[in-house]
Amino acid sequence: MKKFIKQLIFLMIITTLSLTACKKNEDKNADSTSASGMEEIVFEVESYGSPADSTRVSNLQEAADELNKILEEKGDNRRIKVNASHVSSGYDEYNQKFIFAHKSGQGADIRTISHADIAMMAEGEYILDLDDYVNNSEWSEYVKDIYPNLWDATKWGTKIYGIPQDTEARPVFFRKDILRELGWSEDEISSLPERIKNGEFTLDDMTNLAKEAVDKGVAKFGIYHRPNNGAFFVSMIYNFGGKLFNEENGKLVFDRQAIKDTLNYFYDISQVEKVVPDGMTSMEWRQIHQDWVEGNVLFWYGGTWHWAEYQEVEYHSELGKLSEDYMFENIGYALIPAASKEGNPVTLSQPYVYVINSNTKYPDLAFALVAIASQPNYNVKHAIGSGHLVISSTAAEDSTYKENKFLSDVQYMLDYTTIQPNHPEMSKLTSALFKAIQGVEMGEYNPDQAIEWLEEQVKNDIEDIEFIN
Amino acid sequence: MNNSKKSFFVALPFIAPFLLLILFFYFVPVVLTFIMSFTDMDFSLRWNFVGIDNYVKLFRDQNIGIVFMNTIKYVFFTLIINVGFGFLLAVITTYFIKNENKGLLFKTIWMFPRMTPAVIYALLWLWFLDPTESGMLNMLSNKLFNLPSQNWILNHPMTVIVIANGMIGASLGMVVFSSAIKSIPKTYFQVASVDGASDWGIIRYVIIPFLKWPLMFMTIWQTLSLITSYEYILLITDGGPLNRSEVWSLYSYHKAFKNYEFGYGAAISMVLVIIAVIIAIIMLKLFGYDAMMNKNKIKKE
Repeated sequence: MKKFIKQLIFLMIITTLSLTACKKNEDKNADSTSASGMEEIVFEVESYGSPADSTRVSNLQEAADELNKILEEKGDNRRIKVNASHVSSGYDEYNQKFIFAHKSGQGADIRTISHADIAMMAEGEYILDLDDYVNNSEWSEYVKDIYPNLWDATKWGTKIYGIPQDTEARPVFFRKDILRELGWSEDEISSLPERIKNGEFTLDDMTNLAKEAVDKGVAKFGIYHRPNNGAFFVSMIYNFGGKLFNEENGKLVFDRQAIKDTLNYFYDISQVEKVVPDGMTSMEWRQIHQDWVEGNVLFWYGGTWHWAEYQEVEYHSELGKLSEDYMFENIGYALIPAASKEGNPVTLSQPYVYVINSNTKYPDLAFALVAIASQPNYNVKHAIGSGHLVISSTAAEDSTYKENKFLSDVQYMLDYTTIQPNHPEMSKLTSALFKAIQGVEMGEYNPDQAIEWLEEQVKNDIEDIEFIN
Repeated sequence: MNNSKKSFFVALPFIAPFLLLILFFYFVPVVLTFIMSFTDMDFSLRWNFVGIDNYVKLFRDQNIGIVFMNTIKYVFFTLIINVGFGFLLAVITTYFIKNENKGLLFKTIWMFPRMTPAVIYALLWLWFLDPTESGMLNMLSNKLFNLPSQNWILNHPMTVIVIANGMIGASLGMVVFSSAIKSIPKTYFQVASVDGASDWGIIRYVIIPFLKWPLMFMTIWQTLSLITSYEYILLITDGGPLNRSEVWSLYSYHKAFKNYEFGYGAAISMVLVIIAVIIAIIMLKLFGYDAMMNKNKIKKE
C-alpha cells in the first residue's frame, strides 16, 4: 500500500508540474508605464496583399508617430507603438488565424480585410461597430472626405464596420506588341479602351481577336484569367446583367439566366474557341504572371494592382522587374468589354478596409491611428506604390497622384465599377460558382449540366437563397 | 488488492503520460467533434444545436458519391504501394543485397522523403510535374519518348496523389519489414537453400509467413492513416481539379475551414471515425489478431 501511495504522489507531482508549465496568456495590448509616467501601448496590426501592398501596415507605423505628437500636444500620457505584419499568401488562412486567436482574446488589433468579409466578421462579433467613431468622434474630420460609395462597402446592415483603405478596378490588360504583330496601327491600339468604353468592342470581339492571335501564332494563348476563386467571376455575372443580392430582404440571389450566360462564356472561350488553356483553373499564379509579362498571352483579366506588382516582382525571365516605360510601350488596359452591343462595359472593385478587433483594449486610439493613416499623404503613397486607387476626393486631387499616368488613366473605371454584396454566405456562392466554371473549362460539364450542378450545390450549401430566372 | 489491480497501479506512472496524450489528443477531440456535429457552428464558432440536420445534409450532398469513391481508390492503391512496394524494398535491401552497408545506403535514400517537411516534399512534386516544357517529367518524357508536354496534375490527379503518398509511405514499410526479415534466424534460410528452394520459394515460404504480424500491422496502420490523412493531397492538388482528387478527410477540412461550416465538417469527420473503427475491427479479424498475440513461435538458439 505504501508503494502505491508513493506512486500516486509521484504521479500527482508530474501532473502538477505539467499543468504549471501551461503559462497564462498575457493581456492584450500589454502596456508598460515608464518612470516618466508615459504609458506605452502596443498595437499589433496585420495586412494581406502582394508585397507591393505592404504600405497597408507601414502607413500605420508612420501614422503612429503623428498620433504620438498629437497625444503629446493634448497632454495625454499614452504613446503608441505599432508591430506590423504583412502576409502575401493564403488569405483564408490569414482570416482563420485571426478568428481562432480572437476566441482566446487575442488577434491583431487592426487588420485590413476585403470588404467582402465585413458581413462575416461583423456577424461573428469579431470587429467593432465604428458608426460613432466615424460620425461623432474627434477623429471624424480625418475620414469625412472618403467617397460615399466606399462607405457602403464597409457596412453590414446599416452600420459601418470598417474604414476604406484603398480601392481598385479590374481592367482587362492587352498586349500592344501582339496587336502590332496582328497588323493593328498605333491609332487602332490607343483607341481600343475608348471603343470598349463606348460598347463598340464586345466580349465576342475580344474572343475573336484572341482566336485570331492564337491561329496566326503571335500568341500562345488568347486570354488568361485568375486560376482560383475570386471577385473577377462575379464581375462577369454582372456583365451578363445578373443580380446577386436582394436589398429588400437581404437575401442572396441565384440569377439563373445570368449565371448560365456566364458559364456559356467560359465554355466558349475554353472548349469551343480554345483561347484559354483548359487547365487555366489549375495553373500556378507565377506561371500566369510570367506568361503575361513575357508576351505569350494577348488578354489578361487582371487588376490595377498588377501594374505595380510587375514593377516590384521579377516575373520576366530575362528582364526581371518590368520598367514602367516598357509597360506603357507594350501593355494597354481597358474596362471589361460589354457582353453585348447594347450592354455597358464593367469592372469590379473590392475595396480593402481597416477593421478593429472587438477585443482591443484601446478602440479610441486604434480608430485614431486608422483615421490618421487615411489622410491623403499616406493614402496616395500606398496608391502609387501598389497600383490602387485612392479613397477620397482630396487624395484624388493630390498633385503626386495626378501626375501618375497609370492611375489617372484608370480613375474613370470607378464610374463603371460594381462591388460584391456584403453577405456572410457570399463566399459559399462564389466558391460553388468557381467550381462550376472550372467544370465547363475542363470540359467536364457543358453549361446546362454545370448550372444544374451549381443549383444543387448552392441549395445544399446556403440555407436561404432566392432563385430567379 | 488482487494481482491484476496491483500490476495496473504499478504500471500507471509509466503509462499515464501516454494515456493522458491519448485522452487529450484523441478521445477529447472525438467527443468534441461528435457534439459539434449536432450544431450548425459556422464562422461565429457558436454552439447552436440543430439535431441531425448535418447528417441529413450529408446524405443529400451531391459530392459525397465522388468523394467516397475517390477515398476508396486512394486508400486501396496507395496501400498497395505502401505495403507491397515497402515489402519489395525490404526484400531487396535486406535479403538480396547481402552487404549491410549497401543495403543501408539504399534504405537511407528511400528515407529522405520521410525526413523532408511535407510542404517541401509537395513542392518537389509540383516542380517535378510542372506543366510547362521546363517541368522535369515533361522534359524526360519529351527527351526519352518525344512526347509533348502535358499538365500531369490536371490530367491524372488521382494517380499523382497515389504515387506521391505511396513513395513516402513505402519507406516506413521498408524499415519495419527489413527489421522483421533481419529477426528471422539465418538457419531457416540455410535449410531452405540446402533443400534447393529458389529465392522466390524462400520469399514465399519463409519470409512472408514470418512477416505476417508486421504485414498485418502495416496494413492496418497505413489503412487508418490513409483514411484520415490529406496533407499531401491538400498541398499538391487541393482535391481538384473539380473534386477529382477530393477524399473524405479533405472534404471535411474544406467544409470546415474553407466554407466555415464547422458543424457540417464535424459530421463528415464522424462518419470517418465510424468507418475507421469498422475497418480496424474487420482487419483484425481477417488477420487473426488473437492468434498473432500468442507467444512467439520462433525459438532462438
